[in-house]
Amino acid sequence: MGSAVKGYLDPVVLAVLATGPLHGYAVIEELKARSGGELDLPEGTVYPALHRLEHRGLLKSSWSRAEGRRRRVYRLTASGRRELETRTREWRAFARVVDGVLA
Amino acid sequence: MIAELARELAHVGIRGRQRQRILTELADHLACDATADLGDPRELAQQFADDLAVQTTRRAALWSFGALALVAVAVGVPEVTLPRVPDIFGGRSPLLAAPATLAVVLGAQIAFAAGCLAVLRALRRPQDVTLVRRRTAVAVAAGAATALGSALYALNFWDEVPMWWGLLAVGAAATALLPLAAPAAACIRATRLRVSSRDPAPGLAADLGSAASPLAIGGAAVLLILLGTSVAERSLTEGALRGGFEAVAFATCFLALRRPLALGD
Repeated sequence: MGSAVKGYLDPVVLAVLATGPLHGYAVIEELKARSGGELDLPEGTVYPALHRLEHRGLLKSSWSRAEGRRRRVYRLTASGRRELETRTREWRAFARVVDGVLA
Repeated sequence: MIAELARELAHVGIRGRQRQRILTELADHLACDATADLGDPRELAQQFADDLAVQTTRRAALWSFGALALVAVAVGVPEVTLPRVPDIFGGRSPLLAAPATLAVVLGAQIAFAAGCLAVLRALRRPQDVTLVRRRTAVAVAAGAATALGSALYALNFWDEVPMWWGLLAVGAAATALLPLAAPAAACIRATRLRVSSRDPAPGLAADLGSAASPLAIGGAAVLLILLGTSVAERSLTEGALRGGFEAVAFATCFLALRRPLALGD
């Protein structure tokens, strides 16, 4: 399941951050929790996705401090929310078509 | 893991604050879960470099397009406000007039073509970073040559044109050079990143669709040049003469840049 989600990692990360600001580790934990542990991709791959989404203006990030460590916290921007809505619509339409064919 | 990743990031050209940020984030991750599987440091560093190269190169292509629009204004305004075109064999020296004219005429065409193609490829196939970077670099260099050519032209004919026009041409050219510095710097930054090797980038069809034929585009461009120069010279013969020269120069540039800018099929 991990390799299958790689092409869809960006909207999945956006969806996790739609609930509120999170740091990298928490994003991965939330991904695991929401997928019932099925998404077992190498955890490091989420960080390039976070940076990529931030470069595209879909996320914003800032430093915070927790347990004496610096921590980068990410939050969804308005464009990120719009992108998530678009990608969700696209995914649902695609899944409907594939479901129809497989049924 | 963190020390190895630091080495790999430096190896792919990610340094300074960017590298420090990545290392801090992943160190925090390992502090949360020491057994976390972050993947192979080399692959992870390469992923960061590939993504960063795409972003930096795309930004450089878009900036260069904006900067070239300013160059077009900076060269175009003096061109249309010149009260009387001086004799090309006049001026201080033909050694200044010839390269200045050539730089303005050819530089503008190359900058326009390379700049448009850079933006098209950056939007359609951003993963072709090497090609986008090369097209952007050519566009920026040609844009700079055009602006310098315009200034050189004004300096050469300084005694034969009104003072206000000379100042306008040189001032506008100098001002137009400034915004070109941003895409040039972004190109240099992107060059420092080592991207994964990929298949050679496809030619013009990837930019303009499968119906695009370099021969048809070249033919249409030559026809446009002939038409444009005829209108500018207000004479079909003069226009054909000047247009013929420009068309030959254009075709030579096309052939010279065909491979580096992927102008083939």
